[in-house]
Amino acid sequence: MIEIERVSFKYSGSNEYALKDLSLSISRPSITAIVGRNGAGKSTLLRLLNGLIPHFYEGEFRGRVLVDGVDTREVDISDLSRKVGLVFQNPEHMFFSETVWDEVIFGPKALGRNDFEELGEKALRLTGLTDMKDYPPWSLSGGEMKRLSIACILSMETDYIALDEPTVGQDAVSRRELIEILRNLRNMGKGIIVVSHDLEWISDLRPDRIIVIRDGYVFADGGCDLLADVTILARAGLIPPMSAIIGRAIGVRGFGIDDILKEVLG
Amino acid sequence: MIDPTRIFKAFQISKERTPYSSLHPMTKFLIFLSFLVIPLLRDDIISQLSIFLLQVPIMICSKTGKRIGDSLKGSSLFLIMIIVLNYIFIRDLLYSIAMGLRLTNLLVASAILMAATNPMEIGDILSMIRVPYYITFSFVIALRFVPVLARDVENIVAAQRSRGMKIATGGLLKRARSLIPLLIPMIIISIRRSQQLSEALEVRAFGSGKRSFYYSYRWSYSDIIFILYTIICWIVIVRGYPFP
Repeated sequence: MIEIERVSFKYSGSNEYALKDLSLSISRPSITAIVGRNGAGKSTLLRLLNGLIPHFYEGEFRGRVLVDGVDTREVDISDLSRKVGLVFQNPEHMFFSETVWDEVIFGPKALGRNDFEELGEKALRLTGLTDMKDYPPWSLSGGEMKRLSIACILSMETDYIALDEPTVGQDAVSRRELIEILRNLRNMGKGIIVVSHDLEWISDLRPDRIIVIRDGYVFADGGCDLLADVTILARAGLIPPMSAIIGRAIGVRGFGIDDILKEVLG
Repeated sequence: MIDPTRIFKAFQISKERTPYSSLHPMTKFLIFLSFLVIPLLRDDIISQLSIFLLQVPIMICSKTGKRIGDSLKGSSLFLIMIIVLNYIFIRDLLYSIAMGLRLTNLLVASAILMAATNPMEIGDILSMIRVPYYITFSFVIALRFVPVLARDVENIVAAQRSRGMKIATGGLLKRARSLIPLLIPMIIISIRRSQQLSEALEVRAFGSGKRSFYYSYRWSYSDIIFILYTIICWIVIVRGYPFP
């Protein structure tokens, strides 16, 4: 379980706190979506999970974060990366190897795992990249790069996987594929944490839990019902997904377009 | 622990108003140029130390001390390399240390200018001395992208550390090799960005004719004080006062 206890954080050089007295806990298996406007503190919250804050990003840190009972302040980022994998918004920041295969096995090798080949194969299979094993990472399309960045973290066999804005620059097919990958991972017992302001995609993903962040604190915490709550979303500066608005207008209690189609078409 | 990515810290532009930042761009350029030339005139350790001390008041006036300190920490590996290489070939320890200090002085002079000056001002200086606009523009863009590059480096380091990579540990060779996962994404991202930038400039009619400018700068008493100080620095180092 990841427990965030009364955490406040201010980046060095900034006058405002990015996170203010924020508390929450995340268990697994689950898919947790963290939503909020730009600058609400979503990405900062992700950086807490694998110790990038306070070890890498300098600033004023209060409170504590426990990952399976371990205080993130007391262990190094590389040790925490055995537990929590972080997929960055821009996959290009991660790639440096000649082939997709080399890229995928980098993480498990860095962690000293002897079964890195098995882990790499499994990660490529789960993300549908097995056929692209020998491709240079930079030759992949945007969607494939995103899947490769997930494969790089999957191969490290972490219990939790956090994704920062995974749908940015992704087409409809890639967004669908991403949903399938994340659902499979949850079924494998992983804790998935997704940060996004793309509520349309979140409603299709149907996460187990939605946390709305506003100005650095937890504004609302609940199930998918939150996506249809116009009042709460509007107060957090968010617009409900179109599928929820249409669903409500035609009397269908659904959260994603799939639910509406299922109910309308039978 | 030495982290080479810290070198960029000093080159991130600060928006804070300081006695230095409000100077006429030409004054800043003269100070910068002076402290680029002065360290090259002397090769003894006392002169290099004096030059460093003479730059301290400017550092204070520009409030760049902490960031320059961070940057020097980051570049300590290169400074040590300069000292060691000089010692291997010249076999004079004091001279080798002086060469390391010379590089430090050059780094400090550049960092003060970069950290406390808007790149647009630097472009204006070059325009004032009749440098062709396309050269000025390239220079300004290069400077403007330093903080962007610094942010990229920060993201790349964070991404690689999240994948279990350790930076700046072990021996010299291991440390150099640990930089590969940082350098390759940085180079590729930079090349892609320059391609996008050139396309963006093309569609915005760059180079289609004579440009117009609307900024004007005024000289103030602070400029006179800083120029006088720079002249004093020249005299102290060239004439060798107080160290003959």
